[in-house]
Amino acid sequence: MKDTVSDSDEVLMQRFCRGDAAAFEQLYGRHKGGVFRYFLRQCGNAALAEEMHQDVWLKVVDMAGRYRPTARFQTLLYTMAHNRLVDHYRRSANALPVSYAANASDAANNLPGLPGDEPERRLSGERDMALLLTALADLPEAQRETFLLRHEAGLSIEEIATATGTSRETAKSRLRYAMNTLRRRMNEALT
Amino acid sequence: MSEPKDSRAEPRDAELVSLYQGSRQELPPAGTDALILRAAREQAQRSAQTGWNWGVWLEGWTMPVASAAVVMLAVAAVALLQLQHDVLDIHHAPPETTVGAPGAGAPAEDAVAPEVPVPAVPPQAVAPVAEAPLTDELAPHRAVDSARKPGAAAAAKRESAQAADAAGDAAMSSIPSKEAARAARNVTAGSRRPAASSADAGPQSAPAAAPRAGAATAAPGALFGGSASLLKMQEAPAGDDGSATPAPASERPSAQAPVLSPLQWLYDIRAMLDAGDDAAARQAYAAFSRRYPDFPATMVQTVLGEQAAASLR
Repeated sequence: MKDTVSDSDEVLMQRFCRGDAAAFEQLYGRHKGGVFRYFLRQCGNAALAEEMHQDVWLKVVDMAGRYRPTARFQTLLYTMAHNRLVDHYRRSANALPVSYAANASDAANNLPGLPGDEPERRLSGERDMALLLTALADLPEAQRETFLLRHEAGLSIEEIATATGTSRETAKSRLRYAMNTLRRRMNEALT
Repeated sequence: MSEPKDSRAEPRDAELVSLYQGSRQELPPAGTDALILRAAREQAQRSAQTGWNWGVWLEGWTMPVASAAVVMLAVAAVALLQLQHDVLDIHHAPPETTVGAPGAGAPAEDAVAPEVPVPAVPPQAVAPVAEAPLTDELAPHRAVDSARKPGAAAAAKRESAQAADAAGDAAMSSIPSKEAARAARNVTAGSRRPAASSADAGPQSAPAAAPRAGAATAAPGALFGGSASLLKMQEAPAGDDGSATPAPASERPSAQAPVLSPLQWLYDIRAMLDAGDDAAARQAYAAFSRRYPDFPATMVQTVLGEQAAASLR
């Protein structure tokens, strides 16, 4: 979580632009997990996610001489991440992400079976998480991205629309569809 | 009691979000972190060496403030230069620029001619309007010159009578004083025509060569050379009936005769002194003192010189 006492992302980035490497370390520590998981959930491949994660942050580093705090740093960061992901999709023949089960997450690697297969129908937290991640991986790409930008990156609807280059209504609609689908999937898994 | 099936089947958004946030465990590998942070340190070193981030600077408040300051400085510099130019222009302006021509809105009480006889010239061609004012401004010089010549007293009498005839001529009142000032400025700037050519050019061109503004620096010959044609006219023989030839309308002095400013007057006196005509200078200075009794003595000394001023007193 962001430390509200310390400097904002924009201030840290400006300090980095003036040559403060420690500011960038602080900034990177705040957002490295979110960006990495955004790529991991979207592309479904840890190595690919790592590559894209590295590309985005190196772009942030190179941006130091041209940075202008016109918007929230997070919006800028995830806009760059979105563009990098779109580039990946365009280059790749199989644009759709693979199943989440193939990824490096331990929780995802230990997916439980369907709830109906269990002798007891009481699910643990880990199982619920795994179900949720599976359901998330099965979401349409745009809906999943909107969900991640909202609940992983913490962007507002407007910022999601900015980052993904869509309208506010489109972003809002995608998020609503994503939540409905996740609820339905979880309901199916739990009953 | 069993839990309501609906709530179990339809988890709320907050529960889903909370569940998802609990699953956020994945982090990039340490090697990736090290690579990114190393690149950031190198970039930070470059930024620190550069010492300036134009993007941040342009984005901040300094850019509009600096721009406004530059604009204000530029405007101030232009205004200062203009003011300096005006001051220099006034300082170097010939005395004609201070002549209070009636047409230019000068006070009526200032429109008093100095006590210098105004010569009359024959009514030949009508001089151009732009050159006309210099004709009358040469009156002191003509008076000085004529006073140096034999028979000057008789000629002065004739001229005085003709000057009285010429009173009321309104042609002079419509002459813009700016033209006179410009012509005199041209003379000061070195565009003065040679005296011989001015004399040959006839009455119309003679006034333009009058070196009034340059009187302080010009040689006496050059000072009076420009009015050679006028002198010729003054020395021209009278008509068969013994009367002098009337002056042209443009060169005849009007009732609203041009007024010499104090400085112009002093320059004329100095010209007389330079020409060696101490008597005329003394007479002119006496008239000056009567006309401007409160004129600063330091200014008189500045224009005439201390010794000259003392000798005239």
